[in-house]
Amino acid sequence: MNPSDADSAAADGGSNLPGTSVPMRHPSNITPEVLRTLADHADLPLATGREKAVAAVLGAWLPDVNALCRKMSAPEHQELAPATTFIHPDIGEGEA
Amino acid sequence: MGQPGSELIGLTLAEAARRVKAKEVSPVELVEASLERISQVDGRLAAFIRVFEQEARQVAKAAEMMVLAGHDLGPLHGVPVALKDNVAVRGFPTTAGSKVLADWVPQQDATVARRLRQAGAVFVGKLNMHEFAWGGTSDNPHYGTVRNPWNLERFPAGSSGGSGAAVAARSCYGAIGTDTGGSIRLPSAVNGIVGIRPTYGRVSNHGIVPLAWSMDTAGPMARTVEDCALMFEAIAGHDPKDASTARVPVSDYLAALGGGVKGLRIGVVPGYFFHHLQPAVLQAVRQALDTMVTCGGQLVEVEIEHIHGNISAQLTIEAAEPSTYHQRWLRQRPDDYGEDVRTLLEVGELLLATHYLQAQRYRGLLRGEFMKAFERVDVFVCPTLPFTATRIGEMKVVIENGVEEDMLSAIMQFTGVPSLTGLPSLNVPCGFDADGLPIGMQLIGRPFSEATLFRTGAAFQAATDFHLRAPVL
Repeated sequence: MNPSDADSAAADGGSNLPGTSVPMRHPSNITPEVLRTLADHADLPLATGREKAVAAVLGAWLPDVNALCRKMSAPEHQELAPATTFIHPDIGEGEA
Repeated sequence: MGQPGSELIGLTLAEAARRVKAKEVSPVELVEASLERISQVDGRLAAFIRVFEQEARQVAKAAEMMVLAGHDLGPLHGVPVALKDNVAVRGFPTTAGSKVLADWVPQQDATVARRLRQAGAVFVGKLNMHEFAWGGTSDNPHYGTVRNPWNLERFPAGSSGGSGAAVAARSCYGAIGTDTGGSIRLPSAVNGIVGIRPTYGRVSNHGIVPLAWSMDTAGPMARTVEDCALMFEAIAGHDPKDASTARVPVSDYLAALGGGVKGLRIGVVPGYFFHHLQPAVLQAVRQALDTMVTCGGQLVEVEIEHIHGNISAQLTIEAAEPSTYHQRWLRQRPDDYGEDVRTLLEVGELLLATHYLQAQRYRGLLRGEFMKAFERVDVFVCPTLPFTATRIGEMKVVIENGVEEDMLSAIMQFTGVPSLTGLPSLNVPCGFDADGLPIGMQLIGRPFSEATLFRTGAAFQAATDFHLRAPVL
C-alpha cells in the first residue's frame, strides 16, 4: 500500500506538486526478522506467517510518515501542540 | 392513504414525513413499502445485517395510532430509517460488522438512535459496513460483500457502504453512517446520495463503537439535502454522555435551505483539489462550480500551503487509535478479524508515538490554515474522491496515466482534510461517468456551519437533477 501521489509528493514540504512526474518514495525494506523484532517490542504476538503482509503495509507507509515527521520538526512549527480532540471556545451563537 | 409500495419508496424522506403529518399516508404503509423493497433487493445488495421486521411493524402501528389521534411525535414521525451496525440499538445485536462483537446486545440506545426515536423515526434494520469501520470497501468477510445498486459489480465504498447502498436503493428513507476518514462521504458519493460529516463535536458519539476517537463522527445519509438536514436537526446537539460534544446551539437547518448561494464565496485550492483525478470526476466538479457561479456564487482561489501530507497524517492516526482500542481483542482472538482489518490493526501497533504525535500536531497546522482561509471563503468545494466506484475486490485503483495506486490512501485524498481539521463536510451528487456511476462533490465549511453547507447543497440541487435519478434494480 502506498500513499497516493497527491500526498507523498510533498509531505515533507518539498517543492513537488501532485500531477507532475513525481517518483513515489521507495517503500522501506522491512525484513521479516525486523518486523518480528518490532512486534516483540510491542508485545504483539504476531502469528507465524504474518510478517510479510504487515511488513508490506508498514514499509509502504513509513517513508511518508517519516517525511511528515521531518516537516513537523521544522523550527517554524515548534510551537504547535498536538490535537487530540478539538474544543470550540471561540464559537458563539449559531454558525461561526 | 392506499398508495402502492412502489410509489411510496420513491418519496423523499421529507415528503414521506409531510404526508404522514397530513394523514395522507400511514407509517404502516411506509414501513411495509420499505420492508417489501428490502426483501426485493437486499439479497443482491447485502446492505442490511439485520432487518427489524416485527419491531418495525409494531412501532409503525403505534405511530399510526398516534397520528390518527392527533399526536405529533416529531419531524420524522413514522418514517423508516436504518442505522449502521456500529450504532447501538437497545435489545438488538450491534456487531460493528465484526465477528468479535457478533453477540453484543446493548442495553441502551446510542444517543443518535435515541434522538431519532424521539423524533418519531421507525427503525427498519441495521446496516452492513466495513468491519469495525476500518476500511473503505464494505467487503465484509462476516456479513457479506455490500454491492453498489448502480452496478452490482462495483463497490459501494465505505465504511458506511450498507447505509449508502440501502438509501440509494430506496430500501429506507434515510440512514445513519459514521465517518472517521470519509466513511459517510465516500459511500454517499459513489452511491449518488447526500451525506454529511458534521463538525467534530456537533453530534454525539455515545453508544457508537469507536474507530479513531479523535476523528470519529456520526451523521445522516439521505437522498436529498433537505432529507439530510431534517435528520441532522434531530440528532445534532450537546450530549452530557459525550464530553467531546460542544455546547453550541443547534441551528434551524431547514429554515436555511432556501437561502441560495448569491454572493457566497466558494473556495478552491487549485494546486490540490483539481489534480490527480479521473477525467469524468474533474469535469463533473468543474461543471458543478460553473453551476454555482451561475446561481450567484463567487469563486475564490486559495493556497493551503501545508495541505500535502494530510493522507499520511490521516493514515497514521487512523492506524494508531484503532490499534489501541483493539489491543486486547487482537491478542485474545486475532483469527476473528478479517484479513485486511487484522493487518491494519497489526500495522498500527508498530507505529511510533512520535509518528502519531507529529500527525496530531499537523492537524493544528492544517486547521489553522483553513481557518485563516475562511476569512476570504465561506465554503470550499472539491471532489469527494478522485474516482468512481471500482470493481468489487479490487484493492488498487487507476486514477490517471494508467498507474495503479493503493485504494486506501487514494480514496482519502480529499476526505482526509475535514477529518483532520474537524471541519464539517457534505457530499452532494454532481454527475455521472460514462458508465453511469455517480460522482460526488464535497463542500467543506467553518466549524458549526452545517446550515451553510445545507444551503449551498440545496441551491445546487434546485438547479440540477442528479439527485432525482435512481438506480434500476
